Amino acid sequence: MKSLNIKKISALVTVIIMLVSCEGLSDINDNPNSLTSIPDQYLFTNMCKYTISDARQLTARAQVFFCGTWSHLISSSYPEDRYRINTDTDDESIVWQDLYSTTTVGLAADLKKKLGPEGTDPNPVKYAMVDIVGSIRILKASDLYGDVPYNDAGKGAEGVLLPQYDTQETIYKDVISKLGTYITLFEGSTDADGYGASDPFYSGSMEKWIKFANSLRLRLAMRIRYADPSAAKTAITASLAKPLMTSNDDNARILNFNTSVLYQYSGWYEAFVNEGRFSLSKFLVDKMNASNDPRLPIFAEPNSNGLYEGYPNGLTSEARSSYDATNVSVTAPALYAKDIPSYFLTYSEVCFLQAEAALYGLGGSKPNTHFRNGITAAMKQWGVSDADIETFLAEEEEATLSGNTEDDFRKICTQLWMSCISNNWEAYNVVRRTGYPVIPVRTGLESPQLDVGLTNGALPRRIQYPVTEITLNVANCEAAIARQGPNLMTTKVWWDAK
Amino acid sequence: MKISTRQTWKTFLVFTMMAAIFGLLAENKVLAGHSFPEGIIQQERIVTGKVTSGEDGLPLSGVAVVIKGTTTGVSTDRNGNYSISVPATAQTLVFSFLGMETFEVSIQQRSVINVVMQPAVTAVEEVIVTALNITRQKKALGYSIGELSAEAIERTKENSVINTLAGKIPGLLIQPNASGPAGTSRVLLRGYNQLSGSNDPLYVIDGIPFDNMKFGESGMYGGIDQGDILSTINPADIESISVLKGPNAASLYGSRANNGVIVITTKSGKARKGIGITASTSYTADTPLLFPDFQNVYGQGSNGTLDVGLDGIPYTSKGMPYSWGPEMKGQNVLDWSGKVQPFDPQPDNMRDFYQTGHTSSTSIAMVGGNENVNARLSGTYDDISGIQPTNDITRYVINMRTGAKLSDRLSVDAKATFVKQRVTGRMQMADMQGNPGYALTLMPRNIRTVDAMNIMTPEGNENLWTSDRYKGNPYWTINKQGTDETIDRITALVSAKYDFTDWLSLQVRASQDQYSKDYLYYRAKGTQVYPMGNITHIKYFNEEFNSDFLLTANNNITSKITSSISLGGNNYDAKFSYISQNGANFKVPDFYHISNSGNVPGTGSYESHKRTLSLYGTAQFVYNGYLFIDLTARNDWSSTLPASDNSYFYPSVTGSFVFTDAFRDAISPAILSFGKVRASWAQAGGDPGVYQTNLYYNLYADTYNNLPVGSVSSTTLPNRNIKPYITTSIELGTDLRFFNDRLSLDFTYYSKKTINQILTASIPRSTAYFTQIINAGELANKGFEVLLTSSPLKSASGFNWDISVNLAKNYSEVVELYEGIPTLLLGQDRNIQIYAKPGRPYGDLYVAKYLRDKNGNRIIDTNGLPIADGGTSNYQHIGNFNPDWTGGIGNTFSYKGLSFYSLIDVRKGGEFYSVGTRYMVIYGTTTETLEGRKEWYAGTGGYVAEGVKGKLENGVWVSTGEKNDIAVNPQSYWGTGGVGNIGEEFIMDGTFVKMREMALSYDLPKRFISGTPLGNVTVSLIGRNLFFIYRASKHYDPESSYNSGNYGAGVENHAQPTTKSLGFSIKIAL
Repeated sequence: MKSLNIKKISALVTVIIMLVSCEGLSDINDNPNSLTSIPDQYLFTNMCKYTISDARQLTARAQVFFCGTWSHLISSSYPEDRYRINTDTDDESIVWQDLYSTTTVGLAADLKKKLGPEGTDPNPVKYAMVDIVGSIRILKASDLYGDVPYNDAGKGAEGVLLPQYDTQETIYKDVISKLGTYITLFEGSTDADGYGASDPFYSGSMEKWIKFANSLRLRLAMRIRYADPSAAKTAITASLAKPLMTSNDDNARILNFNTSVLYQYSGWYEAFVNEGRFSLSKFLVDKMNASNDPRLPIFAEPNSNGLYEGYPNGLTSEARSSYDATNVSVTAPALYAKDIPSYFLTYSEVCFLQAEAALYGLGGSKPNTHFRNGITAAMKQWGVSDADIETFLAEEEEATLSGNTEDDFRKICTQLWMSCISNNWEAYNVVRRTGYPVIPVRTGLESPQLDVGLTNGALPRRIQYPVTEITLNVANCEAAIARQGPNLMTTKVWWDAK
Repeated sequence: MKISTRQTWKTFLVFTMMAAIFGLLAENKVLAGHSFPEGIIQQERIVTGKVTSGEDGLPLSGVAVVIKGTTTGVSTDRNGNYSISVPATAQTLVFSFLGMETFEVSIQQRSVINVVMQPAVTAVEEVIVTALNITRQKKALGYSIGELSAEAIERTKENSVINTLAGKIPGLLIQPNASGPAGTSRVLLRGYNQLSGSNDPLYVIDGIPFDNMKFGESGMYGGIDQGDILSTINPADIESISVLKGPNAASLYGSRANNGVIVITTKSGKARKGIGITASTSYTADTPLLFPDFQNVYGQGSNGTLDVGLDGIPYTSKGMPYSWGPEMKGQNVLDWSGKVQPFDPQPDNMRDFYQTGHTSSTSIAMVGGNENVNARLSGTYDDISGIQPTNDITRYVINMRTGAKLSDRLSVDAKATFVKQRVTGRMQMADMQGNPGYALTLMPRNIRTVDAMNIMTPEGNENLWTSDRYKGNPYWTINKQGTDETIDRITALVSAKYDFTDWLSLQVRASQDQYSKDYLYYRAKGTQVYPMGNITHIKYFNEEFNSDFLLTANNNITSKITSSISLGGNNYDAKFSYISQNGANFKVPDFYHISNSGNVPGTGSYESHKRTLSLYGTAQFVYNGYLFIDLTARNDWSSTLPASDNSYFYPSVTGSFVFTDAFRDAISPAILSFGKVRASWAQAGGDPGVYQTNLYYNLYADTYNNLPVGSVSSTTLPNRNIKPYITTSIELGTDLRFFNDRLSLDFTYYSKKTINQILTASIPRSTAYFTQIINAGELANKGFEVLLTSSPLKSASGFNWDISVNLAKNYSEVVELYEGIPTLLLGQDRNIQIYAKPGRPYGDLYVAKYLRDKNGNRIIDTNGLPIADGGTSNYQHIGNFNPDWTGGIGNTFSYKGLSFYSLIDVRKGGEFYSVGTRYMVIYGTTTETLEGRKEWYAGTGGYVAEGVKGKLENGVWVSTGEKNDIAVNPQSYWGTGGVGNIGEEFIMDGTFVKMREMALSYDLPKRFISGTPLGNVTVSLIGRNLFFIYRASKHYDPESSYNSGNYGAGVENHAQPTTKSLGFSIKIAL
């Protein structure tokens, strides 16, 4: 004891401290599984892929349950087909969350920060491409829900945790305006300024990006035709003055592949095989049968009588359980195979939009030519033979515009609607915007009985804001509801103004 | 410490200060010594003596001899002899030994003190293991501590260590998942501290904390409870368990002790004559405790009818999963099996699936030693089969512990444990196609077991009786899907203690705990939901290294005040990694190896690394042997905090006052034999998980069209400025013993709050992220705990009755969440959400509720169906999953060698939502769906919903005041258009009174075994979870949750039955 003193104790303890702390703490928390920076083209490719090729959940919910059954292209056993809400799976929240996903809207915000003028790697052309692709999901969200976050969207990593909602009018007009700016920018650039081989749309072709951006502007302009005719006209005029898509080679689409890797194949495969098989709608099949549409054998298998029959939409649960579905055609692999491409915007749609513009004197001429070009392109997209296309064009009344503006408009819209099968986002937009094809209001008096759902039989006009937004982004969501109208399926979005 | 320059200086400063304080205290010792009259120090002298038992006069070895009011002590050798150095200030020696009455002797001037100890009137153990493995006198503690002896742990041979604690310790809630043996349990001390994040306590074995990793549990969409590491511990090796309930008791264990600590001390060798051998074996048969109340009247079909084929024979269609068909009267029906057979009820078609499981455990232990060296070697083999066929567990545990006194000053202790555990056929749970609980509860009531056992279609696919592929054939599941996992665990601990002098010692320890786990999960090709089949193979590796030192000085400040001061440091370093492979599309059937994948196998890998450095100090002051003050302080540096600010500090103060000792003269020991009041205040901090301070990018293993792709690595946003959370707790309590310890009462009140919570908060998805790591929120808990023990009967004939009653009540309050976000979703399942909301208790359940009039009657619409208030998506508060209170009653009756023990576990209140019940009524399989069927199908009536008739006024349903008399199809009433989507219907009261444990033991009389080498033989009949004395819920055991996470207590989802166990055990000591 006498030999002990403070010095000795201190020395001993110091030695022990040094023993336990020979390695530092600061670099231990560097995540060894991940990168702190990554080549931007890797993100761009991924973002483009996910933005257009919807994964299983989103395909099943948005493209089948909501847009598919509400546009009456598809019939399913899920509650949405009965104009109801699926409380078991909260589809409103899943669609919203997938539209604003990290791999689409999130990557767009991340890339824009880097590629913008203040960023670490400024590049105006790449920025423009990212911005265009990044706005696609927000436009889709707006089409379904109405007012949605746009300027604040996807900026969680920048600290924007409660995104404000922008009006649909703001969103549409801003994207239309930016597309004009980007078209000019692309016109002054070369392929080398883009993403080259990492660009899954056009492998860096500036010419095709110009057509794409301009065709998208035409679509958006036409969409707001009833809500703001003058703004629509200005934008349509501008679009018609610039290059538009001229063949199916210009289509904006993402390829999918027949592999065993989930990431590489179409969400339609999983949606069909695992999320509840769906049938073609009786509403669609009846129309295709009536016009001897050569795409019908591509979309469906004939039944035992060699005929094609669809499944009615909207049957009540009881009616559905007793419905004799023996003769309903089986959906063909063309609609759910692993390697079907995911289309966003096609040449055929551009033709139909030009036909509509010409029909209403908004620009251009020869509506019938555009209309028939559209039918040809739409059929070719599905591999219909030239001979069958010619027969259809020559023999079917539905394939020629007659001069009666309203009926011609019906024909254009019906063909556009049909061409959108497997891009049901757009099919549902067409039905709402134009009122064609006319979807009858359900009364509950039909036989077999139809469910009038939560809309008293009327076609739903939008999806309700999801519980996640209502509870987590209260003030902003409430402000949007106050502006837009009650959070119901029957409330119309801004452009739904016909 | 290479943290940062600033940190280095800070650390150095803190250390220097602590060293200086320590030095000053040491100096004071010396100075104090000088200030004493000359010769006082030298007056420290040696007292020796012998301790014998008053029962048989034999020497007692291992008796603790402690100088009263200090922690200085020795123990007797195998001959009962001791020798202790006693300072002049010491007045009393305390002799304590398990099972013997503690004995105090005044030293006076004697140098030889012989003691005869008497068997304890009540076996209250006075010495207890506390933080840092420091053994303390119980009366010195300023906080409540729960304890369990080896006997109580082993009594009913529960194979899970943690489940043995159920119902025994007030304030400790154990809720096992309904996931079979080797599953996970929820373990909660004094409520939930963390809003999100783990509320599990820290586990410490022989002073070394270890990570009780949970490898995977079921969520709403299903999953497999892969168990935890705790389940690999052998209950037979445990000497005692101490439960440190709050930060007050646990502050010295550091961050991870925020939720309390469960301290496990394993058995060690003892100095004794010859080798002691104990062997024990036990066997219990395990059977289902409870099945839903099935109806056995109506079979498969809808609306009371079946379609009739062209041949005039009714048939069941595969698309018809319901039991809403015609009455089963033996009529011929063409059913799913393709056979025409009588339509008969199959009341046991669920029960048939289960087997009688068993738990058998055999262990042998050898102990031996002398004064200088001791050792214990034990081995255990467990063989367990669950009630679900193929669910099997085998476990081998070898444990070696040895201690040695290498010199007068140096002693060492070493321990090594090897565990090998294999588990097959883990239960698949909740909403997963392989959950047999799913298919069996919804199985139409006419499905024959023998048909269901025909698992394969002619094409080789899973044979299902419905077209709903998500309800897999359970017989296919157990034969064609499965898990197979093996854990190999090695734990090693070395410890050395050096006594510089009689008042200064240093302990240095190091330990390594590592395990690997090999996990295989497969589904055969032909499984309906996964037609290609699939396989996942994962190898986990975990290692934790701990090293620490503890320098302890004992000091007599004055003749009445003694102190003990310790300074310690700890380095904790943990690494975890896994490598996984997965494949699908098998080439060859029934061969579950990755090489059999027809697809290119996917791979994954992950690793994490964490380190925490700590310095801590404790000071204990004792005044006159009855007033105790403890101070502790700890500083941690964590690698998971931002490098610029990674240090945090937390202190504690506790005090204990034994007023019966202070005022002994005034209090009659015949009335109040012991009385103590205690109080404490403490803080404990905690750090976040790894890699939460930065945003990262991931490369995908897959490419897109041969192009490399990547993304942001997580949908959770990081927090670059994350801070540690802090729990602050106060605790007040008293220990009172009356009538010569025949009755004792332990009462504790506590109040605690955790602020700066590290939350993974849900954020609006329009941010492109799901969640963000934030510091916010405050969760408070307060409550009380009562433990009453008594020996009401103690007769001269040897008949004794001991009773122990415990009760705990906890109130929680979510004080605040964070700005702008009013609720925190804790979890959800079908038609139920569980939220935290400010001002409300933690764990509130939200469902769609019935529209009611002001008298509480349901309003029934004009179709005769109830109405959801505000629609089926309008979730409103209905209950809370936390019990109102919990308690236990233990009784032991003994007469000579015979004893009967029982433990009743009580839980009052707390609700849970039963997804299984919801589906069972929709499918029409349970008894409540019978009402009105007969009348409806006969056209004479139907189900008349209880409630009042409603009418629509301006689009709003209001009551007409008339009692409802509209008869409806019961199928519509129970269906999704009726109550099926109104969650209120499926909220169950979780109250239960369960016979948790029973044991009837008999010690074979010595005369039976005299002449044999046997020393002691005990045979017991044992039972666990035998029956409900009371249960408020229908169909399911309230202990049927599918995960032990923060919302799991609130949801049941098609749980498989919980089990009851009945068996025997034999324990032999040589």
